Amino acid sequence: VTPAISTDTQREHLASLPLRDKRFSVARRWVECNNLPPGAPGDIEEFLHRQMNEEVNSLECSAKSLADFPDSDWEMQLFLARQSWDESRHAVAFRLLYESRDGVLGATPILNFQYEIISGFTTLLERLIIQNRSFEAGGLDAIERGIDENASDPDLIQLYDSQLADEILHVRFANDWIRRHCAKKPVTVLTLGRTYAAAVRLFNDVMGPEGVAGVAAAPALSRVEAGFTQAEIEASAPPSRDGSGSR
Amino acid sequence: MMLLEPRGPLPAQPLVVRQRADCIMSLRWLSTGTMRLLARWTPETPEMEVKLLFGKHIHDFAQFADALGKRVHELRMPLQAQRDPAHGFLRSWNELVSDADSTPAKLKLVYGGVIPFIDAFVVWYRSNVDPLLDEPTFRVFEHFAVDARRMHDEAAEVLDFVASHADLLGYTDDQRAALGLALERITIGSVDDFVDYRSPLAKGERTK
Repeated sequence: VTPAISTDTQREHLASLPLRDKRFSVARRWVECNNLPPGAPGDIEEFLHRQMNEEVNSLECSAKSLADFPDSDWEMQLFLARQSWDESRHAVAFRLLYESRDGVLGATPILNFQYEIISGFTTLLERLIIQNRSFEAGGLDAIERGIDENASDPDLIQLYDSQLADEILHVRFANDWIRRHCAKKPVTVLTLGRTYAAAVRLFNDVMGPEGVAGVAAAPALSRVEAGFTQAEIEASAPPSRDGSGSR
Repeated sequence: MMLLEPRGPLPAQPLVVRQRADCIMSLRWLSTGTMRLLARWTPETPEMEVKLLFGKHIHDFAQFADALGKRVHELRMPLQAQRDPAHGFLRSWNELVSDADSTPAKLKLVYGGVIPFIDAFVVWYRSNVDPLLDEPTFRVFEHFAVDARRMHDEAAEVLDFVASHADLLGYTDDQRAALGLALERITIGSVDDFVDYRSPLAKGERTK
């Protein structure tokens, strides 16, 4: 297995991999996955399988934060519990769609970089910055693009439509919480920038130049609903949570 | 209970408000504890179907804890307050948690242990309070009972799946045998010794 992260400094930031059962083959870098070109046979199935696992990663990150920060506000704990349920439902929905198209679990490699990166950060603030404000916000961009590009696939559109509403909720909650945190502790703004930069380095290391080439998505309109300011939207070029480059 | 029907026999010494709050705070401790346990186990459990089950039920236990935490505030304690259970229960619980190191053991602790314990505690509680005066608490319990039945059924469904795919999931013979017992009931403690009534009780309040 190729180490996903290349330097000791970066490796210190990673969480241990979440467990997977024997059906799954876990890749560490994007280039180790089956990256079929758009439109190739099996392209959509491979995407559904990978996306299902990304939702499992999101569930694992939310659950891990809930377990790791028992002294956080009860409102925050309720939110993390809700996010855990939402991500679990999304994973089931992607699985059912995948299997309805004769997909077999474990047929293609999966990546668990999302959990490794997010849960490697040691404060709840950092994790929310990365999971909700960066990866999931990138997911909003990807989902909106997916809705535009898959008009002939009503089952996928139906899933995306519901998923988008849930993800907006997750991003908005984190944005509101982080904004309140910044108001109370202005130095938090520095943490925002530092954390985001660290996560981008880790993300790029996993994805490699091939994985991020040509996938810069326009910021989604739903970012407004999710609580981003216009200036933040214009400045955003976050890593996508969906392992973009796969489609 | 109909609106104007006479009440049935009441307990000889119904729990007073402070004692009811102690009970509910203890139950909230168990609910948040189970929520966090499921949360911790989610990345540490290999089988995807079990992870997804835990992810869903994290929210169910959070909702129960939230309802209990609101009710306890109505009983004159701080909003979302909780309290550790009695020492003996706590010791036994910690041992059970540290022993739950496999998927069948985790399933057994939550679905064969915690949920039946809450059921039993509710029965005990109902027999020790005035159902009219404490009806808001009963309503919280009634809602959870519906969720608890669903959670148990969903766990049974997932267990069936895991058992029928044990080879694919790489289970050993011992692990496969443990699966067959995973939803059997276990005792996690006695309902009589669950609550630690440590609060200073006001004059005239019942002591245990």
